[in-house]
Amino acid sequence: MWQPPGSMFRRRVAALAVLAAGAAGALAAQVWRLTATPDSDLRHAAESKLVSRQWLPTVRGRILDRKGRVLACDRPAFDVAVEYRVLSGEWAVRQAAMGARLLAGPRWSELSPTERQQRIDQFVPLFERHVQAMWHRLAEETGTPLATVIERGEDARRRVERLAESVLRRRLGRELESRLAAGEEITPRLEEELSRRVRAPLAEERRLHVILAGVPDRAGFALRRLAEQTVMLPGFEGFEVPLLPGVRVVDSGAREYPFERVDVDMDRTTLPLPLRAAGTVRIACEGVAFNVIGRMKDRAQADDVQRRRQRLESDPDFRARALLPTAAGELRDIASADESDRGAYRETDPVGASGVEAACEHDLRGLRGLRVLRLETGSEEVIDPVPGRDVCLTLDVMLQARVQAAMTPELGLAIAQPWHRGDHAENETIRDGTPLAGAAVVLDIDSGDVLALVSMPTIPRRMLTEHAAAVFGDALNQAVLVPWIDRAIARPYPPGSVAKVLVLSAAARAGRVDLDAAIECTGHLYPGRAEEYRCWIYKQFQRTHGPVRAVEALMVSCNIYFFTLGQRLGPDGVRRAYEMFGVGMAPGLGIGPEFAGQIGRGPEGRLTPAEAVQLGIGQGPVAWSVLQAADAYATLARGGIRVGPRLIADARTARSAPVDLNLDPRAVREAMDGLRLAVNDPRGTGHHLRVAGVDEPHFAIPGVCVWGKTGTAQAPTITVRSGEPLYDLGVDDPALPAGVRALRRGDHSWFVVLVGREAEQRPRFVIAVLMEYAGSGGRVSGPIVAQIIRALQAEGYL
Amino acid sequence: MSLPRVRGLSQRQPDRLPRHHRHPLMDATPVTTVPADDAGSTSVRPAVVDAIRPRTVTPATPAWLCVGSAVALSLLGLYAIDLALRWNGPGSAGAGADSQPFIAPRALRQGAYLLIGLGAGAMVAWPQHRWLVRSAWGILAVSLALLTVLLLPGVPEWLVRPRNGTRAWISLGVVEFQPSELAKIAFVLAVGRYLRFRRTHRRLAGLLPVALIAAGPVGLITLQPDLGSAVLFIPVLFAMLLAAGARVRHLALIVLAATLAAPAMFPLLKPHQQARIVALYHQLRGDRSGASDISFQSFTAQALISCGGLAGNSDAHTRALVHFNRLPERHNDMIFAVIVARWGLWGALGVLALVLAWTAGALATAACARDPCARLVCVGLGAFVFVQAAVNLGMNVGLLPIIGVTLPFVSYGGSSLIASWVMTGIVVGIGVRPPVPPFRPAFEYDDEDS
Repeated sequence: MWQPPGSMFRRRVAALAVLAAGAAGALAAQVWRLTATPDSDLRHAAESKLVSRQWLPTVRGRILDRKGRVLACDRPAFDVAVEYRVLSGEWAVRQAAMGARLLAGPRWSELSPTERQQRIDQFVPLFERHVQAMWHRLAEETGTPLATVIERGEDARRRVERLAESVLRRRLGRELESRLAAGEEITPRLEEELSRRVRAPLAEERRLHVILAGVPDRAGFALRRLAEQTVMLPGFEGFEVPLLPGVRVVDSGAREYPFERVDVDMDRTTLPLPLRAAGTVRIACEGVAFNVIGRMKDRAQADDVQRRRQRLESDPDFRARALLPTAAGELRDIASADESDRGAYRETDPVGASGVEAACEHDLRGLRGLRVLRLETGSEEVIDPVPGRDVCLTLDVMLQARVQAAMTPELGLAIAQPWHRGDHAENETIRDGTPLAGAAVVLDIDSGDVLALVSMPTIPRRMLTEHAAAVFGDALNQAVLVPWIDRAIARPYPPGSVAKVLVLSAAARAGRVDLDAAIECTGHLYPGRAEEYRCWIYKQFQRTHGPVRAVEALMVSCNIYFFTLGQRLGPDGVRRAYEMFGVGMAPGLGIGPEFAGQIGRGPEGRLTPAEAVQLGIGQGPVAWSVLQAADAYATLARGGIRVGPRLIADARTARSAPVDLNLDPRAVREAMDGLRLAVNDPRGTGHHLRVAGVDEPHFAIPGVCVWGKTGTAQAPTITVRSGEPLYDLGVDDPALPAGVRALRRGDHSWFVVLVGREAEQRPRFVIAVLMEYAGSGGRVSGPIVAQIIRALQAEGYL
Repeated sequence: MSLPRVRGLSQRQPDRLPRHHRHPLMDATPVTTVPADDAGSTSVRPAVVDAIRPRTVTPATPAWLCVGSAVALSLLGLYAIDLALRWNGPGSAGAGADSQPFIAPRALRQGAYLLIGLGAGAMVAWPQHRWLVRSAWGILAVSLALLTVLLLPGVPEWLVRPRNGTRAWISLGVVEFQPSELAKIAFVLAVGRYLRFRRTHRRLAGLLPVALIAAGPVGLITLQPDLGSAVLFIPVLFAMLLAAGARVRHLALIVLAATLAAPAMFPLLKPHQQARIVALYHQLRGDRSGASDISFQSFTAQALISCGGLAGNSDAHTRALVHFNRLPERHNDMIFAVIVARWGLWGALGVLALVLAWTAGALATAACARDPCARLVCVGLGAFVFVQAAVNLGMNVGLLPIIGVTLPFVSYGGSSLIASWVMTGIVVGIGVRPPVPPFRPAFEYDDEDS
């Protein structure tokens, strides 16, 4: 029946058939494109709808002290969080649009855009009122003032808005730059297109914002119930909205610090004469061990996420524990390792921000459980949550509290006192009554365990939660007090005279000193140059020590003796002396930044022979931390075995093997003798405190024997320039250029003591105390050390 | 071959042959000998008897290809509707052995519609198609009237109930009827009827009356508003004009003008239509930002298609996938996505092949037909089915905006299914008739195609 070829109609019908086949081919190609990739995102998206996953909460590990006391733990708690779209008002507008549409019914499509907008605008206030009612309800249920609740919401909104603005500007700028770099012309249309593209919502705009943290359980339960309910607004039959729009009650697992505040009773009869009184005084210590335990921040930042990723990549054991088991991990919708990490950070997860909380974040952090419900079959798999591991510290928190109490200004030992000065004039930068900053470390000599690590001033946690801006914004805090820096481990201090004993040991080991021979103290090292390299006794009293041998030199802290040793050791020898005792190497407590110690100038540590002489008495270009001082003395007390301090008592933390410094046993003996005499012989620099003509021994404590050395180290002046906030507080100083004043100047006060039981006659603990710009080592730090020895007794160590 | 100019029906001459056999060209065109019995019988019987009791059929016709593919697509549709709507897994509303329906209620309804459609198709195929051609204007008038009723402001709600803001359905008690489906057939018949003896459409100005015929249904359907159904008429009209011998350069000119004018028309679209087009543009550029709102339907359909892979999924898994992905209109506009989820790429190719088979059947029937109107009607119906299917598939695979066009024979919907079967019936009716003399070469012009 076909017509002969050449028929126009047939040709055209054939052309239509070809067109149809072409269109079919295009459609087939697109289907092929969609179906040919077995692992496409689209496919994952569809398959993932068949599986409902629910993460099960876990708890963070505890932090315990050496006696098992809980220093930090999770307590179940509720945070009330609100979605950003409710805070921003977007929710009300969207609901109004939906409501208007519903009310208009089919007529909606007939309305003009203006009419639609009018109808929407008309309903917006209704939903805004509903949001207001939500705030009222939150305030009422939690007992918080309404103004506070609303203000928190506003704060969160403003924060996100500011962030969004800056991020969008940055993104747009980057895009435009790259376009310009690629030689594209920037038309207004391109700009519009780009700004539309970069307007992808920020994570902050999608996430929940905690408005009320740690609400009481009862309020948490009540709000959780209410948040499930829906209501019908008047005039909107069939259109339900949540009773509390965008509100979610989340398990926050609030971190508790039971020893944050400890009251310590101090025996006033043991205080130096000017403070002595009958009975006890109760000292409230706040922020106990804050520098060690650290704090949490309420959400993870990019670097936290990055650190966890690195740990996952580098530690196979950790990865094996943290990632979902294979069966669940094979779920098609769990594509990346990030998603299968049971400890991955989610929106309201707190993260360790400092101290042990940050350092042991990966151990402390628990692993979530997972409930996987396969909707297709109804089968359910549950992987139980794993709580975070406990971290045990070598710290004794009660000892820590007592040490802190001794260093609290209220007690009177840690404020500038007239009797601290002796015959000296008042330090104009620290007038009498000014609280002193400082640090104290108590080490167990045998094990290297850190028993107490106090840095004053400390920050009470409630100050951080309530007045963080005030704490970090305060000018005095920024310039001088820096309470957020751990003075025990992270601040460099010149060693001063406490280093003399190390120089002696090193010189003996190097064969640069004859322990039997005396060195003549002539007041100044070089004949005819009485203005430099002087002995302290010459400077103060125009006297000399005469010929002194090692023990005596230590006892009286003769500078000339140790200048001579420095001279003999030379730059290399003196450097080795300090390095041997750990200066230049961070102790590695693992709780945050540490000062490693510095010898010499510049990164390569250049030392001149003249500086080597100064290093002989612990002055010149050398600095270490209080912990390093304590550790060096512990090494000496062990007869030259370096163990290294440790704060985290954990078998998993690798410890370097003990190192024998091969010190000369006789030199060690003589050094210990020197230290013993320095605090036990009336001629010793650390023996007594003279107040109003009466000499009172520092360590007249029954049952203990002490060794020790004072140090009064010249400290760098803290200056303030004209125009800076604290200029008025500064003191004019002839050594400083015009327009620069001194905020703090003077000497740091050192005292390092080895203490043991009287019956044993061997040192068990090292106590190192440093008070900044406080003057004399013996006078200021001595009474504090004495209180620490009493604290060791009170806690049963001595 | 030089052809005499046709001037409407004025050249009709009285003849002893029945009226429908009379042809203005009879005298001028060589008449092929017709078998004696046929010619004899028709010469004495009244037209109406001839119309309802055809005696002569040609069993071997490409139109059966349409019937075959239509049956296959309809059965596929029944299964796919059930697949899309019935989920008996854990947690489903009807869980429990007793309450599980054996088949989705709407699939059952579709089965009933299919029976009605088969009947309607047979009824249309049975009589001489000249009967249809003669009533073309009448059918068009009826459908235009129905379309107008939909839009009249005073029509009670029980008669015309808007859905999603569209007034497209007339309620007939138990069933609802969509006049736009009737309008499709009426439109094809009317255009075929109008063009059958003309050559005015070979001039640019001559295209205007044809455009006016199209303007009626297209305008009324656009006002419902159902732009998706309305735009289908345009390519169909072009296909019919092309087959009828309109000059390609005229058609190309119109397409070019329309393309140039399109951006100017964009602001006239309703905001939601604009939003869909913009969303499609972003989606084609790989932007996923609309996946949860404006492009949700499109993304979900593509996701399900992706799930199908090359080989597809089991029955149960497909049901679960479709159920939990909550694809809107999954039994209806998006049924193709469900089919691909079940049978993968092969399923998609199968559907395409069946649609092409239907179209090829209609086009081949057109090529075999001698009656000029029948030729154009077959081309028009073939174009309708193909264009509608192609637009629907384009929507499903993310190449076209979501405009609410069903997949003929497969998508759920009585009006659509019955109309599709009526179309099949018309093609079959044309196909099985032997050509009736006198033969003349219709739409054959000597000049080159442009």
